[in-house]
This record gives sequence, structure tokens and C-alpha cells, in this order.
Amino acid sequence: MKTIYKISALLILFIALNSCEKVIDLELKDAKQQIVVDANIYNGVGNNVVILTKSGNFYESNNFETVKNANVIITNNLGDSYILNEISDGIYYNDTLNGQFLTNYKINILAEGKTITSNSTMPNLVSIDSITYKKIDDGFGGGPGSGGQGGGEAFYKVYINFTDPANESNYYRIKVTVNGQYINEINVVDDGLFNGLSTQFLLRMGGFVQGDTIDVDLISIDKANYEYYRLLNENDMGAMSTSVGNPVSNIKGEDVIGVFGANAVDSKSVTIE
Amino acid sequence: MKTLITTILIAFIAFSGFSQNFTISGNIKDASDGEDLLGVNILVAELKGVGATTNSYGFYSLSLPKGEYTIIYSFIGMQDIKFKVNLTKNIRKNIELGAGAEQLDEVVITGEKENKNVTSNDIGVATLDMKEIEMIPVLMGEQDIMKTIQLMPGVKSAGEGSSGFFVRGGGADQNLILLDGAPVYNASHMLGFFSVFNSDAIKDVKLYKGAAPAEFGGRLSSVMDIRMKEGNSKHLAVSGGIGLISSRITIEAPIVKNKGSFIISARRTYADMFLKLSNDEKLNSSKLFFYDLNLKANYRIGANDRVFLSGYFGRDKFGFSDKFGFDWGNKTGTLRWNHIFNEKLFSNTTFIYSDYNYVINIQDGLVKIGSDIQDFNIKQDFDYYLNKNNKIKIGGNIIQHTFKPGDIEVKDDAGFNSSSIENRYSLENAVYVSNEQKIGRKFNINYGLRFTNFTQLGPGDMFSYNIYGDIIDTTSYDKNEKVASYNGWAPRILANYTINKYSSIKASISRNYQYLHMLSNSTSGTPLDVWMPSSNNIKPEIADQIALGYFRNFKNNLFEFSTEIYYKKIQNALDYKTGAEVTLNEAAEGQLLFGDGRAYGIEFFFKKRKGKFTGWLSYTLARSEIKLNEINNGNWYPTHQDRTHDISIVGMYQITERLNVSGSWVYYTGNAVTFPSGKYTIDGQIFNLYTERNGYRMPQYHRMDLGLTIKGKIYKYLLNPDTGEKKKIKKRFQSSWNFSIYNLYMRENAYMIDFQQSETDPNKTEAVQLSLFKIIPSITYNFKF
Repeated sequence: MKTIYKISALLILFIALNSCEKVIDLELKDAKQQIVVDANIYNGVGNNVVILTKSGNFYESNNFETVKNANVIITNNLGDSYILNEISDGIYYNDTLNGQFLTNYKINILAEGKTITSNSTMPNLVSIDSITYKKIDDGFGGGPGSGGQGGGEAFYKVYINFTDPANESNYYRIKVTVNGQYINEINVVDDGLFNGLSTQFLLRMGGFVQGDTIDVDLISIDKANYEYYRLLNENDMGAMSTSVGNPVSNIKGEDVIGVFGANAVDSKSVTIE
Repeated sequence: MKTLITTILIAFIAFSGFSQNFTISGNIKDASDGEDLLGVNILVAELKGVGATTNSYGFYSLSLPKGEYTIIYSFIGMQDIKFKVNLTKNIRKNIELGAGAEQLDEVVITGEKENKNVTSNDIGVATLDMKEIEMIPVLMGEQDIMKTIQLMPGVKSAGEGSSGFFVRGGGADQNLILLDGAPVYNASHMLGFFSVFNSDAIKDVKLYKGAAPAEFGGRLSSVMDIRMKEGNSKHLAVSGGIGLISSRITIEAPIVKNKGSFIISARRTYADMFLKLSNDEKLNSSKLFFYDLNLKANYRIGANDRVFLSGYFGRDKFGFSDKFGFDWGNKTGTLRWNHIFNEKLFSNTTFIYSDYNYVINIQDGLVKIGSDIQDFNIKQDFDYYLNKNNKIKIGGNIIQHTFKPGDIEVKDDAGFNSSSIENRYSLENAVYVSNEQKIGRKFNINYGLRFTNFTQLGPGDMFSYNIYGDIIDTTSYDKNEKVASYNGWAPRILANYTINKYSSIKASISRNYQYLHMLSNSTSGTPLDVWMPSSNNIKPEIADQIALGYFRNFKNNLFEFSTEIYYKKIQNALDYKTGAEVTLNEAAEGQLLFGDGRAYGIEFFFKKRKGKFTGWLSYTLARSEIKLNEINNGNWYPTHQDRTHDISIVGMYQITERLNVSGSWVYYTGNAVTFPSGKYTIDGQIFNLYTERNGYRMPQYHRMDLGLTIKGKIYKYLLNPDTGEKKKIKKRFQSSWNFSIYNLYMRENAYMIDFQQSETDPNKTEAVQLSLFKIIPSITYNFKF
């Protein structure tokens, strides 16, 4: 959907030669403060983190309060139980938890007198076949430094190639790190358009340049996580959307929002030569 | 059904045979160009309060007891014609009325015709004079009926520069927009900055905001009945205009003089021509334009038969070289046969086609996305002029709808599967009967009943959903197998009690069913909006409306005032689940929520109708709410189109015969929207925290526009060589320059508000407002000959 709005915005730009953008002083209400759960476990040992913060008012700074001294326990349907320790303010971790595929995990949090629960089933792993790149020489779309007009430094498009398992619904989240810098942009996709196919997925619309090292995580997530991130992605559509709101969360508890995911991740890296 | 109609007709015909009355009937045309005149008043000098009006095809019929009468034909802006008749048999009398402007000193103004707004039982109706549309300033100088009608009470603009509109708290999809009877599913060009209606080709527009006559149905809020011109049947006429962003040309001429005529009207924008001038290869290979083509022809076969063929084709095209193409548009076609069975029975048979589609083309055909809605409609209407007090309408129609919600066609190497959302098929049938009855001299009532049936048919796999909108079951249906069927009885009553010549009280009550639902992700409407039929999952929306009005004219009809109050109750009102995805989603039905709706308000309208200064003031105080179990804890909340106050002021001043200035000012409360009430972090990103849907308001909107029209010389003088007398005659070639300024005082109205990271302090978030059209001056040159 976002692309469509971007196209629409472009159309509008053509017409509205004298449009203008300005920061306005808009009065906003203060919502009741919520505990925000950002909890993820992955396959592999020590690959987990639970971050507990609190929501803030819109015009306050982005330094959110953290939720300290919580009890965080993760269990699975195999009878394993792990206690996550607070390794820094609001960040909880366990160094032995080893996520298993096709296993249901439960999280139980006791924070500030409130009980918070959730569960998620780790999907099977879908591996990355390869990461490929292609030099773009027509200048369309623009690389870094070109201001989107082309004519800048030659740039590359990077594709992640993987084979989607047939006969099941798969949901993916793709995370990208460029030269050690994590690109925090939510990128989720379901296999509706490529079920059972070897597919090529373009990473970000912009361009990469020669010398970039790109680390890609292909993360298989469950449907609830997919829906959560899909809606989170449309979260900033604001007044232009007919149905904007908080995503449906798989977290249960009073005045709590966020997401818990048991995810299967495969990582690969490429350097553009 | 057919036998029922026949029986009723035979009964009427038989009944009329016993009466002692005779009928005068015929067609009324404009003397200058042969266009049919609709809404002409036919009065009888000897019988106060007795009369008739012409229908949409200029036909009238008036039954009177045997006797001698003076029949007066009168129409606003035209000279009356008086006709003395000794009515001893049925008489056919065709009339041509001349425009008063050509006989400046001789215009006869009678009191009767000018208080039609008071005496007719039109309640909840907005009409526009096409002459006024020419004068009222609009965006980029493009005359636009859709924009101008938004200046009437109870009709609200869907947003800055939008041709979408909201009527009495209803959504933009609740308006049935008919062009020569054909529904236009997306009436917007360029995301709504322009409407698809080229006003050069439009003869008349009427908007029913409440109880529409029984021959109309299918939408909850309004019917916008737009009629194209027939074309000049007297002589060749050419008109056109050259504007900043588009040019127009209209050619009309007789096919056979006084028997038939045609009109062709075309319009194209040329913003992309400027792109071609650019040296940048990407810019000059980009496309951005739209065009419209209106065609109509009519021909009289003998005195009793007339056929019309009309069509509209319009398309928007947008593209970046061969990387991306996006085009969309409507096609409509109407084939109509008018037949006069006898002086009392007028028949109208219509075949209608309508299609709206869009195509997105990515990477020169690597991926193609398309969607389509198509209608075939057969319609039969009879006007039966029973006697001087009763005018009966009876008819029905069958519409076949085909919905193609979306196809994605992919070439092999794209790494995607082609996919197609199954077509949906449905039949929408209706029969109706109504009677417009005069009871005594004071009371006038129009009552009707419309029965509708909507059936969704196979073939196809129909889904059922759980409360999360996931498909839980699929049932397959064969071709033409019934999936779901709904019946609806839609009665309507409009009544008028005329207190005196200058004032009346009117009331209406009506029910409407809507079986087609437009789904949109965006509050502003886009070409990607999808129409969906009522189905096993979507129940028809039903609206009951009651309205009461007081109409009063002052100073010998110099001023017109009206006020109407209405209340509307809606069943199965539709809204979306949070984050609903409705475009190219086969499970789009699962993204919907259903509840109750209500809308109420009061409208005021005050107009100065004559003199050098004319204009109006309209004010609406209204509310529109919806209640869904799943949203806002099941409480009533405002719909997006809820606006408390809406004011329009329009003024036109005729300085000299050739110079005219006009201005308009609009003000409205911002739409109800969803803004965040906080924020939080996930994965290092900042997100908005919402508390309720539509809990906020966009900032208030106001704007002033100005227009100036200078006409070229209207008359020329001929010198009579014998007498030395100068004679003033109207020039064949008429031209005018129109200058307009949109948003004169450069108000920065909010088009969009974004919530984003602050550019000055990355650790903060801020609200950023996007405003379009700070000030837009424009020039248009218009001509006709």
C-alpha cells in the first residue's frame, strides 16, 4: 500500500507546484501509559532479547522509560523453562535458551504488579539460497548522492533469493544491515504471490554502492507476528488511512502493547565488488 | 412482472377512456438550438393551480375538461408563449421557446413560474444553473459541476480540490452518479482534482439528497442525475476553450434539420506537454494527462419515436518511461428509445453500459495489475398522465454487474506467481410505481414504492470468515447458481403543502438500499478503490431518512429561502478493521465491520435570484456517526465525513453586459480523523500510539476564490443604407476571457498531516502539515460560434 501512496503523492506533486509542508502545533491528547513488550527469540543459543519500555506522550523526547525489575520467563511445549535476566535497564536475556523449530513458546512477564503473557510458534527454517546484486546503469530511481535523479555514483540493486515451501502459508520478515549499520525499517511479506516458487526479493528501493557489505536476515515468522508488523508498517499513515490504529497484538495483559515472536532466522552476507 | 405492468397499464388506459377530458401534449424545445427543455411550466390562465411540467425529454401532457383555454408556456430566462386552444379533442402542440436575452426589452415575467421552488414537491434537491457554473471560480479555471454543487447545503467536498462529495453525512460511495442514466463508478480525474464531467457537454444536473423519485435507487445518500446536451438541431455550432491545463472543443450540428442532431465534446489536459520540453530523459518520457470524450446523437422517427445514443469515454494516464504505467477511466454508453404511445403515455426504453477499470504496468509488462467493474442495464420507464391531478410513473430495470476485483499478471522471470481474484457476478433488479398527485390547490404529494432484488451468482468460490477476517471455509458455486439474495421494499413519500404563493412546507420519508460497496484504504479516495457486491458476507446497507422543510420566497421571488431538517438511520453501516487491506485482497470481505449509522442535520439556503448582483449563502449544521462493536469500545463515533459546520457564500456581480465578477468563500469543520495520542518504540523505531478511531479533527478549512469574466463584443451594428438606421444584431462569434484566483488569501489548508521524526531534533517527533494549492491563478479563453 505504501507504494501506492507514494505514487499518489508523486502525482499530487506534479499538480501541486506550490504545495507546502510545515510543522504545526497540533493539540494531541495524552494516552494512558502502556507497557511496551518487544520480545523475540530465535533458533540458536543466546539468540533472544526481551525489551520492556513504556509509551510516552507524542511531544516528549524519544527517551522512553524502561521497565525494570521484571520477572521474565519463557517456556516451551517440551517442558523447558528459561528465566531471562535484566542485563541492562529494561533489557532481558538468557544465554542458554536455544530456540527449536515448530515449537510453541510461552512468555510470562510480571512487571510493576501486572501479569503479561503471550505465545508464538517458531516456524520451520527457510534458507537463503543466495544474495545477488546487479549494477544499475540507466540512472532511473537514483543511487546515493544522486538526489533520486540518477547521474550520481553507479549503484546496485541487491536481491535475496530463496525458495518458498509449497503447500503452506509462509510469512517472512527481512532485516538488513549495511556496513554494520542496522537498517531499522520493517519489511514483512507473505507468500501469497510466490507460494512454492524460487523468488527474488529486492532489498529496499534505493541503491547500494560498490564496497558495501550487506548482511541479510531472512526470518520466518508466524501469522500473528506478520499481521502485527504489517499493521505497524502502516502505523504512520495517520489521517490518510481509513483504518489506522494500533496493530492487533498477541500480548495479553492490561495496558500493555507490543509483540512476542518465536522466529526462525537464516543469515547471509555479501560484499559488492 | 411484465404481466403486472401490462395489467396496470391497461387498467389506466381503460380508466382514462371513460373520462370526459381531453389532453394537450407535445414537446418543448429551445428555439435557438433545438435542445429539449426540461422543467418548463405549462399553465392554464383560466384555471389557477392547474398545470404541468415537461419531463427530461421535453415532453408534457395536460388533461383538461373540454373547453377554451389559454395555455401559457413559461421557462426561466425565456419569453412566455401563450396559446389559445379550444379543447374539443386531444391536441399535439410542440413549442419552441426563445431565450429572453435576445429580446432584451420584452421578457415577460410572470409570478407563477418563479416560485416553482416553493410549489414543487422537490425537497432535498439541489439544482445548478449551467450559466452559473460558467461564472463561479474554480481550480485551474476548469468549470466543474461536481465542484460547484459542493457549494449547496448538505453537500460537502470530500477534501481540498476533490470532486468527491458527501451528502448528508453519507460517504462518497453512497452517491449514485448517473450520466444519461449510466452509472459512473469513479467520477474523478487526477485523484479528484477534476471531475470526469466536461461541463460543455452537460445540459442539466439535479442532485437528490434525500427522497429521490422511485425510478432511482441503489445508493443510500443521493442520486446525481446528469444529462448530456442533445446537440444543436438548428445549425452547426462550435464552442471550446483554451485553459492553462486543458483545452476543450465541442461540435454540435443537425443530422437532419429539426429531426436529429449530434454533439461531440472532447477535452484533454496537457501538463505532460511541458514535461516533453524538459531535457531530462526521465521527465520527458513521463506521462500525466487525462482526456474525456462525450458523444451523443438523437433522431426523431416520425412524431412519436425518438432514439438517442450517447457515450462517454475518459481516461487518466500516468507513467514514468516504461518503468511504471498507471491508467484508469470510465466508459459509458446509453441507447434510449422514447416512444409516445398516445397523448398520455410516454415510454422510455434504455440500454445502459458502464465500465470502470484501472491497469498498472510495471517494468514494461513484467507485472500487470488490473481491476474492473462492468454493468449492463435494461430499463423501461413509463410516464402516464392520468389526469390533471395525477401523473403516474411505472417501470423497472435489470442490471447485470460483473466485478473483477484484481488480476496480477506476471512474466515468468519475475519470481512471482500470477494471481487472480475471482470475478463476482450479480443481478440487481427493480420495479417501481409512483404517483404525483395534486389534492386540492394546496396539497401536492408524490408517493412511490420501489421493490428491489439483489442476487449474487456463481460461478466462484465463496468464503466464510472468522472474527479475525481469516478464511475458514470455502464453498464452490456453479455458473448462475444463487449465492445470496436480498429483497428490499423501498417506499418514499414526498409531500408539499403550499401555504401561499410565496411559502410552503414540505416533508419526505424514504428508504434506500445499497447493494454495491466501495472499499478504500485511503480517506481521499483513489483510482484503486474497489467496488464489492452484497454477498453471503456483506449485507445490503439500508438507510431510512425523514426530512422536513420550509420554503419561502420574498419580494416577488427576488429572494429565495429554504431550510430543511433531516434524520437518517442506517443499518449494516460499513467500516474497516484496523489496518484493513482491501486492494487486491481476495479476502477483502473479511476486512469489513458492520454496525449502525445515523446522520442528522439542518440546512439553510438563501439566494438572491435576480438583478445585477446574484448569489447565495448556504449553511449546514450536521452530524454523522457510526457504531460498531469492534471499534471504540462499541460507542458511537463520528464517521470520517462528519462535519459540524459547513458554509458556502457565492456572489456574482454583472458590472456591465460584458463584464462579470464573482467570488466564493467556503468554510468547514475539519473531517474526523485518527491522530496518535502517544508513541512507543519497537525494534528501535518510533510508532504512534492510538486511542480511538476518528477521535480528532483536521484543522478547519476555509478558502476564497475570485473570478472575472470579460466577454468579447456581443453585438454588431448593421447600417441600413436606405434609412441610415443602425440595427443591433447578435454576433455569431462569441468569446470570453475568464480569469480566476483559487485560494485568494493563501490559506494553508491541511491536505494531509504526518507524524514523523523531527528534522531539527531527531530525539523528538512532530506533526507536519502538507498544504496544496497555496494560490492558483488561471486564465481560460472560451469561444462559440
